[in-house]
Amino acid sequence: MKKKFIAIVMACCLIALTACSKGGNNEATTPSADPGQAVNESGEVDYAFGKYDEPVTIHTVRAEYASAQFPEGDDMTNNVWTRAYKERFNIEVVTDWVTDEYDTKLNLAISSNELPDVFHVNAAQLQQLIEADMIMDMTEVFDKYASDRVKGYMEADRSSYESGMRDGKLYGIPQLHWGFIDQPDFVWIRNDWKEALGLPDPQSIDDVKNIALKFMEAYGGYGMAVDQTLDYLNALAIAWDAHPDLWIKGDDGKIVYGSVQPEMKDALAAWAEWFKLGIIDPEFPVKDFSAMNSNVVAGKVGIQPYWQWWGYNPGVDVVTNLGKEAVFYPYKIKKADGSDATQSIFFANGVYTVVNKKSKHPEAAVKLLNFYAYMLDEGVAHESPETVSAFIDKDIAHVTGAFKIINPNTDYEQFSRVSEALKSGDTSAFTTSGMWQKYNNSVEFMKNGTPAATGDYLQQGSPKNAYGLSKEIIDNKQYIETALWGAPPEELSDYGSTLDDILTEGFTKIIMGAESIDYFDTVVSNWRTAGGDAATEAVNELYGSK
Amino acid sequence: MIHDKSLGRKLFHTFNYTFLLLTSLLCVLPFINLLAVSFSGSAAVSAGEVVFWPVDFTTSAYEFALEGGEFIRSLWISVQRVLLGTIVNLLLMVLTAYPLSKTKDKVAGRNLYMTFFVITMLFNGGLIPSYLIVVETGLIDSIWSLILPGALPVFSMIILMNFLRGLPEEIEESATIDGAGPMQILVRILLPLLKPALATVGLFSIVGHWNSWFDGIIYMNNPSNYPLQSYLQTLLLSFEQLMMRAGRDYTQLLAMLNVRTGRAAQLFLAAIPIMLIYPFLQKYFTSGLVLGSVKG
Repeated sequence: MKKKFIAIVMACCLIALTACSKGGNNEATTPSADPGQAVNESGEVDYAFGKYDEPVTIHTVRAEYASAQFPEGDDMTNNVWTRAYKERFNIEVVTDWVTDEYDTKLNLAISSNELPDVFHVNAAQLQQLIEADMIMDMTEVFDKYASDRVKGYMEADRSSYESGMRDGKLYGIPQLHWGFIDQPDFVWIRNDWKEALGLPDPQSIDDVKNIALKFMEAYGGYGMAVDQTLDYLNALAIAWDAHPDLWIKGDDGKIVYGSVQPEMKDALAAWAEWFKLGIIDPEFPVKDFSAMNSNVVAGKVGIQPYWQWWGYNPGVDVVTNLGKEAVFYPYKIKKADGSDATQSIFFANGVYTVVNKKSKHPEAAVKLLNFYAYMLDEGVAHESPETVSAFIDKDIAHVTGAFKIINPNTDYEQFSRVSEALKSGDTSAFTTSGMWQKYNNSVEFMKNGTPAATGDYLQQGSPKNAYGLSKEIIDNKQYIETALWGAPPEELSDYGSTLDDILTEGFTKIIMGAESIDYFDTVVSNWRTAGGDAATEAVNELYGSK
Repeated sequence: MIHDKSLGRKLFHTFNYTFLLLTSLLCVLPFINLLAVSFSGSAAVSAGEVVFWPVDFTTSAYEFALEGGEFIRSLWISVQRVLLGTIVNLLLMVLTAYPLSKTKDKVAGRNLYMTFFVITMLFNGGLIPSYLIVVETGLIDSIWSLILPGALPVFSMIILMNFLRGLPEEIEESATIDGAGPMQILVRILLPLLKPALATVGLFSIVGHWNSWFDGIIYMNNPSNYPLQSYLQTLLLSFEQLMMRAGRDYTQLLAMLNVRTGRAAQLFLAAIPIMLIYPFLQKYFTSGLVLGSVKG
């Protein structure tokens, strides 16, 4: 009897607990057919920016953005952007959840069918959602409501735009990127050492090798900092016309994987020789990113193949630790004959904005995208500096989640104007707060050598800067784009990292001299039988016709 | 003692102590390194100069760790979770372990119940079904979503059950003769005897609740509701992951540099509570575990 009583008490407790907690948050959006919108000066309905007559509510979800510094009282769900949505568009944006594990949480929401109206997804999730028929065909809505500016973005990077389509219908609006200008890689060389030894700029990949040997002679240690993933060493592979990790369209129209092409063998042979000479860090197979950088920051090594953002990390620490003179400068990667290497350009659009099929107001999402583009690109011209600053600075520009779209020419335009202004001292052409930031930090570094300004200075302001070289590469089209412009085929993701691991492991053995260079053919055939062939076929099937 | 003087014994002791000393150093040194990093300047840390003693001594990491109140807030949520969770766990464990410690003659369906519980120990529904249940029962975004899904730790319950079986049956019989019912026996007679076992499984629960982070991230709809370990996990993303998320956004990288030592400080602070509790419960730990299993 008593046992039964306990059981009943327990059951009641459970029910009470359940009732205490919040209920589901998936109530339907306010239904209202074709809501009225404000008109523009000429009396036509202003689709792109018109304010709704009736309030419209849309639900969204967000990824936490920890480095945003909100003013007191604001947070991810309530901030200057969400208030502007309400004031300027009469759109109430309700955030269902904010999370640090966006992909996991979104996948759970997808499988439990609890999707909000508007949200952002990666390329693979986009394909799944199209497959499952859960998101809306935005083709017409986008055509009608997108501002000319936003449509211009899509024209500027048409291949990313098309990656959001299936069968000619637009499902995911790509949020785009800062531009290809941020993709070329360089070899970074410590300047005070180079000058002390009176060495000229490297004119070929062999010069890089010789500079490394000179550095080792004068300063000891090894010559070049690289890590265990080989990502940084691989950046140099283009000097031998190899394009590791890139899917390339061959002359016969078939897509092949760059890491397993014969050119890669030449690169590996050269690196094995470098390793023997002691140029490559003898401990590289056990060094991760921060271990690789620690000797750079400690001033023990003077050459590093790296992306254009060397100045931000490890650059800031290098200047803090070793002083302003110890900065590394970027140099173009050149082939043995002295000509410029062809750079690899990877798929750049990571994120798409999508709209739930059940949403009543798909156009609201497009309006808010228009607003984002307006604020970032035109804000300085039309709004007060304080307003623009409130929307953009202190990383507030990045908290908008699904309502974000980036001008793919941002960095290119920014660099052009900043470098002009640094030459002439005339800042009147600045249109974005980003330009001011890069300009001010470059000036700051030149004057005071402030470590925190190193990144902007080496990217755009220094006499030898990364974007200056990138701009030449982009202007002269010295690059090839990946043939895999969009989500990888399922077959490829199925293999996970196994395929890459086979290559990294085999290449590491060759570089360290544990295996001869002929081992390359064995590695490649291992890769092919482990699934490389199947993956190549799948890539060709999906992207071969484009 | 006689054999203390023999050469072999001495050798054994020397070897033994050296070995144990080295093992314990292996456990302690990472903590000392963490402590040194948390008190060092950021540039010295990334140059790899900090080993066991701080370089460019500064307490700014601790100021960083404690500013903004996020650390304290999630610490408070974790404390609530540990208290509530451990109480719920202990309550349910005692209530199930007691009837299950009886033979099937005394408790009808005892073996059926036991099978039922053991199955949950060996298999689980997987992430998505668990999530769906939490959503459907409306627990999502409340602290109960962290407590109720694991309200009965079966493994700990079995330890308790075996411990109960090890007690002489006469104790219960004498209580029955004095007129006590099952509930009275449990509360008045068995609970006091169970103390060492309760301390053991209680410690399991405390550490388990303190350390788990994934459920917090999955079931909470806002990072401001994260318990401490979920919050720390979000700070521990590697640089590359951060790069991917930031989409080559350089201002965020700059912010990263200053938090590196801050993270070390937060990790250290987060480890303090468990380090404080452990020594006091440890004395029960081995006895409780062994008593439970061997005498069963």
